[in-house]
Amino acid sequence: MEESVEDISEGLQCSLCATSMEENYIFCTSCGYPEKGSEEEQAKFHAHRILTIRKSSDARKGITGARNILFIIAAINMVWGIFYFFQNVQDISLLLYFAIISVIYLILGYWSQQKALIALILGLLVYLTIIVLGAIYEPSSIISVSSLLIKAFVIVYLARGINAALQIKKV
Amino acid sequence: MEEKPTSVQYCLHCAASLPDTAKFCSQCGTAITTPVAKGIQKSVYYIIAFYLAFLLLAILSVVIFSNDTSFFSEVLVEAIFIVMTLGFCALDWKAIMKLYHIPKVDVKGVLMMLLVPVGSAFLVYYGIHWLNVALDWYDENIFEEYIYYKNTLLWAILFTAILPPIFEELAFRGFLFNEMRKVSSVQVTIIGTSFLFALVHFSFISFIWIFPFGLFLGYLRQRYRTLWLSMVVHFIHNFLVLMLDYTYFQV
Repeated sequence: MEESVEDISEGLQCSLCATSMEENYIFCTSCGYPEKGSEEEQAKFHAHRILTIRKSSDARKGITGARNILFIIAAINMVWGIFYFFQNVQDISLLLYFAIISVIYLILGYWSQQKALIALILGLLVYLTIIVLGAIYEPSSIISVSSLLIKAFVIVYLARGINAALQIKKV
Repeated sequence: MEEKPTSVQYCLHCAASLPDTAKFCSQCGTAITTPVAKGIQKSVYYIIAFYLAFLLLAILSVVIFSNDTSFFSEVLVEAIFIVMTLGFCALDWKAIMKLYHIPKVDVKGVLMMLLVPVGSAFLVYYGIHWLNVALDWYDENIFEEYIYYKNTLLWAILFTAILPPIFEELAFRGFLFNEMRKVSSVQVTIIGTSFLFALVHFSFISFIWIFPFGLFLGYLRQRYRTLWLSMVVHFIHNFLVLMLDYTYFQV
């Protein structure tokens, strides 16, 4: 394959990602590997690279965690809806209310697989809206410590997911 | 993509010239960050802050109206909403002002602008009425909320048909649309802004129709790059719904 059209045999290549390099390059322009740097620089680069990979896998975990939270809230809302429906003399409006919320969380959860950033932002905002609506119509819902803790937990998890999605988008 | 693929860029750290495809500087190894990547975080914070401001306004208006249901409260809440919207728009004033240029609209645009809101007004009005009856919910009359004020019709038109189209379009199809567009694609932006637009009305029955209505307004905003069309559509829709309520109230 010496006569290949691209003629890579003559040019330099990055020893890490095999991108072709110009004569005067010190660093690979594709992965940043210090091809002509000292051994220490190359070792540093490898250490940094491992760190970055770990960071992005952490970020992916953050997104998955937030997505799972959305699915859990969806399930809880559905269960509540059915529970109230059978308790309160078959009141269909309550069932409808919880079903709509549940479906919204489900859709956002699925959507976060493709568009993590926007889907998680919308998920957080829906959650905050429902807290505010609850506080307005039923002020007692916000007072108990356990419910406050759960709400704080969910908000932190969703915020971490948003942050993680931002991290991935920046890379 | 009009430029040649071989165009150069310069390293911000050491000013070496680099091919356009470079992700790292060939001389100093610094990662090339595009300005877009830096702006993403800011836009995300703006989007969240913008929505939180609306949640706060909702709490505030409940507090204001629980103390005093006079005309003054109505004006106060509306004024806070307007100041808040203008405040957010001031963060990116230039991009917002571009949306007020007189657009070139084709026949299709004019027809959509005039016919869709007429259809949607009747559909939504009778659809919601039917749903309220079917579910045995309270069927509110918008006009009725204003009968305690003098010049009822005038205030009802101002507060439901004139001010909301102007400032809701500015807030959602202007500021929010611009910020969301910086972090996502056109389709996602239209869906996202409509979603928040529907959510902020704090009514689950409204959500069903405001969401698709928002999609249409977002489409007009994107297609003609202006707020005028969506303002007109929003006005015609709100005005017709109010007029229907007015007619039924008289009867």
